[in-house]
Amino acid sequence: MKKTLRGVRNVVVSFALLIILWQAVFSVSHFSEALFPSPTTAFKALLETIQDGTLVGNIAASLKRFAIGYASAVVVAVILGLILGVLPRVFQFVNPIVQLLRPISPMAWAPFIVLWVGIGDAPATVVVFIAAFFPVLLSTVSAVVNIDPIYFKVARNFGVKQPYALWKIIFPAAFPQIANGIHLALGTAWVFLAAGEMNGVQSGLGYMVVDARNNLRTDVLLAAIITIGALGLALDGALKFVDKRILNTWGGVEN
Amino acid sequence: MSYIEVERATKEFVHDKTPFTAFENISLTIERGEFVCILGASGCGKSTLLNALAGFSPVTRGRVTIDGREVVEPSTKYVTIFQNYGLLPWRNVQKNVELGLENRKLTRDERREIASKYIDLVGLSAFKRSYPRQLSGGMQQRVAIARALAVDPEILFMDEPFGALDAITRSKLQDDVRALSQIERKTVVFVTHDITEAVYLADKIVVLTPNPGRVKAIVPVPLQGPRDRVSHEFLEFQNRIFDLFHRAPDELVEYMI
Repeated sequence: MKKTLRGVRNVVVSFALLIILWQAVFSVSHFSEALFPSPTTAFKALLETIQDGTLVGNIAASLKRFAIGYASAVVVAVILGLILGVLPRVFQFVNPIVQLLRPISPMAWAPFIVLWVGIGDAPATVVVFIAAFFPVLLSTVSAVVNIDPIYFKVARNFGVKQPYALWKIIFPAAFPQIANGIHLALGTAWVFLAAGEMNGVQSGLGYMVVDARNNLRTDVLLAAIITIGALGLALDGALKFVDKRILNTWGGVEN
Repeated sequence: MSYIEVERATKEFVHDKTPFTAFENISLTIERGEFVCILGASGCGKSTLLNALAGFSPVTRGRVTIDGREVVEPSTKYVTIFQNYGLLPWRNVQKNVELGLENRKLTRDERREIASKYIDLVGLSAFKRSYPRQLSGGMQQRVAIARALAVDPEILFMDEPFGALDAITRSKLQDDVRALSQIERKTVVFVTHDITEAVYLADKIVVLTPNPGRVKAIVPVPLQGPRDRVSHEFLEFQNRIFDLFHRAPDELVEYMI
């Protein structure tokens, strides 16, 4: 409890410092309010978008796409990763393809994605899927490959055969490292969500950024940016909490 | 014909393209109910030999048979206890002990009952809901022993099981394992590098020498009844085993069986 309080205090202090710094830079700079909004203007824009309902609508649209894209990427990548992890000979041939596709920004696919899945929710969801897929897949494969061989020995000795070994031994033994990959992918996927919403869609936080730019509303632009950051932080915190709970019952990791 | 027979067994590996012989031409026999210690320094292939007996990694030449059948894969008839316990950290004590019972035709209650019986037997009744990380090393090894006994194996293979424990815990567990093996009537093959441990536990000691592992001597332990680690007979016999490690092979005839 004391630890949580201290955590909250640190966050409050550090955000207060950021706002003070922002205000200070604004005060000494010669930019007009329209080019570089002050904290007050940005905060007013934030309130305005909350009151007219656009912010909440955009957040809801973004979160829906994110949830679908990220969750499906995690499920598919973990299952595929477990299978490839226990079949290293197959992975030998899959890995070069993965390594070729992985460095390509999901945004580079954007034109094709719009051509193939149309406009609306789908393109941003697919971008999020691609962004989350590779880190989770690769961390799952490496988690399975790095499982302590003693677990396999124990499984063989006590007659735990496939496919039971996959969920009785392999998945749980690899889980802490898989969770790590799932966590890392959250940040990456969130970054690409906003980017993905800048094409082919009329809602979401990414769209809000583009729309504010087109209307020369830098204050709203900044409000959207702050919201993207704050939500990313909140999602990360939520996943950290879930991670900790699961790993505790997993028994493998000390607090 | 003996219960476990090892005939001119050799194990070769290829490691980084260089062939390597872990042990060579090992022959030995173990009777049902016997407590045998395989004693040797690091690198004498004793753990590799145990892995071959347990079916994890069969020999490359020669033969290993248990009860007349050649060993080709692990089985719940012979369970291995490892130095680092091999418990599943995501399962509590109860669930760890139930592992080997899960693919048998048992109801959940039967499974729970059998597991409980062996957890009680190793003295951990109060820790059924604990996770391995919450237990000391000695307690974790007790869980591993309970898990092994729960599947009612004929043989326990023990691979330096107490190597990571402090001296006090180790001697307590030595007493327990000896008692348990007698109560449960198990054949035990116990790998160790600790001469005192071998003399204290074994009915018969197989002494291996390294590079590659070869049998130097097979020595029956003449001590009767409960053993006293500081008795005259115990220390004298222990010295004889100790001497074995410093002698040339031709001097060993008197101890060979």
